[in-house]
Amino acid sequence: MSLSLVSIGYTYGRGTSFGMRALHDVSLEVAPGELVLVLGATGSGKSTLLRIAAGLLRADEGEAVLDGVSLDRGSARGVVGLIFQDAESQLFADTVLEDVAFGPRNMGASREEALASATESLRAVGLDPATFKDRSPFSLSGGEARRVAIAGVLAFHPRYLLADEPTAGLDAKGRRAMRSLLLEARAKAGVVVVSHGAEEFLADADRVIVLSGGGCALSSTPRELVATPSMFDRVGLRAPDVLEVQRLAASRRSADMPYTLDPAEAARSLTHGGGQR
Amino acid sequence: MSHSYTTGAHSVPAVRDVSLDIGPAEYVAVLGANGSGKSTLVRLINGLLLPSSGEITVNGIGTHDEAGIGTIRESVSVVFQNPDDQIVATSVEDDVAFGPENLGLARDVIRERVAWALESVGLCGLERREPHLLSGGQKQRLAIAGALAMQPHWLVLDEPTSMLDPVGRVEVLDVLEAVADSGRSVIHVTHDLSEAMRASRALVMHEGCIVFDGSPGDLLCATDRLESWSLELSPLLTLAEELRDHGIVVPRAASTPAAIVEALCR
Ligand SMILES: Nc1ncnc2c1ncn2[C@@H]1O[C@H](COP(=O)(O)OP(=O)(O)OP(=O)(O)O)[C@@H](O)[C@H]1O
Ligand SMILES: Nc1ncnc2c1ncn2[C@@H]1O[C@H](COP(=O)(O)OP(=O)(O)OP(=O)(O)O)[C@@H](O)[C@H]1O
Ligand SMILES: [Mg+2]
Ligand SMILES: [Mg+2]
Repeated sequence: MSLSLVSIGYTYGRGTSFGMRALHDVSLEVAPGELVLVLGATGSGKSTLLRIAAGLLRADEGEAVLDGVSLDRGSARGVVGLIFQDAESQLFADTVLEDVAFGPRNMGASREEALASATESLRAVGLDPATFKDRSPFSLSGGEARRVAIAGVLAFHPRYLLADEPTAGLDAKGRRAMRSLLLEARAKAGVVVVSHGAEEFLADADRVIVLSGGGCALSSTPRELVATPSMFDRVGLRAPDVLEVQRLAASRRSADMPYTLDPAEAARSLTHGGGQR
Repeated sequence: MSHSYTTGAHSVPAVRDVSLDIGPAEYVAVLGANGSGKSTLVRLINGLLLPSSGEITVNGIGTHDEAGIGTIRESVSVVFQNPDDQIVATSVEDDVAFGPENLGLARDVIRERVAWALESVGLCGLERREPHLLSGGQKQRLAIAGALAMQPHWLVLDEPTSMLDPVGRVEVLDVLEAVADSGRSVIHVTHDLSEAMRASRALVMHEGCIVFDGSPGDLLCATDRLESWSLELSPLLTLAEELRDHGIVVPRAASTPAAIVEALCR
């Protein structure tokens, strides 16, 4: 079982004078139990890739296969869940609870089951069901709306969970909750996380791909990336700050050290051993 | 001032009994948990919402003063949380020019401002693109450019970097600093403490109230309260703390990798 995109290409407005080639020759594969991190600068094609993986756009080059069948809107329904970058735009129902219950209901759950699952998902994203369930999803703060949209996808337990900048607009507690929800989901589902910053999910990922100008600039593992922070520069990204400190210190002291993402560990190696003059 | 939203049978208090005075040339960071009232405060400042009680004045004009609201809107530019809500034109350059045109500026001044604003946010080359068809981060940059082009006395930004990549984020933060240095005021809503370190003043909202008003450096010292306000040190600020625990003198203001390495290698 896997969701597999091989040498995908996509052009918006194909065949028109304002055609915009957003992706070329990009591959992505994820199986249940895995977490793949997709990095890349603004406009590099990350959201386009997720729209294709969710069956919302049809790749015009390459192959898209979902658990052995051709990937399209129909085969993806209920199997692939996409948390949109502008998650708020996914909201539509009269009340928060109805909105979150829509997914499971659509998957054939009974009304009671759907409402129970929705209530549980609201709690999981840190929204007290008693306070929020009857509110209109259009009268929420930015972060609250985002949480409702996330709950709506989690509630139907997709086998492939695609999350586009899932922590944008969330406060610290929300970000922590989001991270543990995605890790929990990985136990059963294949998870793809799109993020600008490598900081948040790098330590958790099984694989990392970096997009640049619509192409695949790098396909690697977190271990390799952390060991060689200069790889971030080469693909037009910034190394996570903690790595950047270690790298700058190493070059100032002309001494190398094993790089780490963990601030406490980094502080130890920066102050003791590891290249003290 | 206070503000409650009424929707159907519900009344949601969003800003409670807040008193606040922001002077010229201040760079104020506004922090706080989801739902703590930050965006409501922003909407009150530019008169999009009127307070349920109390009043707000901008350069002496009350936001409830219908004759004065136009003047307020000229001196206060807001970048709202959702960039989709702010697109007004069918091309990137027309979108940025929209505000300055309404100010009645000369054509060449407008052209200059648009070019400068697009340059500042790194959108050069996309002038003719259709705003609705941009990527998330591109739309966010566009919204910022639109506000910059107004060259307002008060630049108010609601989570302006939430969709920017780390390179773009630093570019935008540098622009905000330059704006504040030029004698204008910046009010910057953010969840990110290291972004707030660049401000001259930090406000924390909690359940509609302002619970902290002081220097960003002092905010970091309130370690026991950060958690209850749903704030968290970034990995870089955590590293700085750890280094201090190891006896390294790291200035409070050090909020970039370079500044920390400076302290380390001194
Ligand atoms: N509907 C559309 N029509 C035409 N061009 C589009 C459309 N959506 C996106 N694009 C363009 O395709 C390219 C890739 O966009 P995409 O949204 O995939 O980028 P992204 O990596 O998600 O960026 P961000 O980090 O800013 O969200 C960009 O240049 C963008 O302007
Ligand atoms: N249009 C609205 N109608 C009713 N209640 C609202 C509306 N907008 C916001 N609220 C409520 O007011 C409170 C404050 O919301 P606000 O948007 O100011 O928060 P915020 O600090 O900006 O949060 P976030 O970080 O999530 O953007 C929240 O409890 C929210 O649910
Ligand atoms: Mg995107
Ligand atoms: Mg807000």
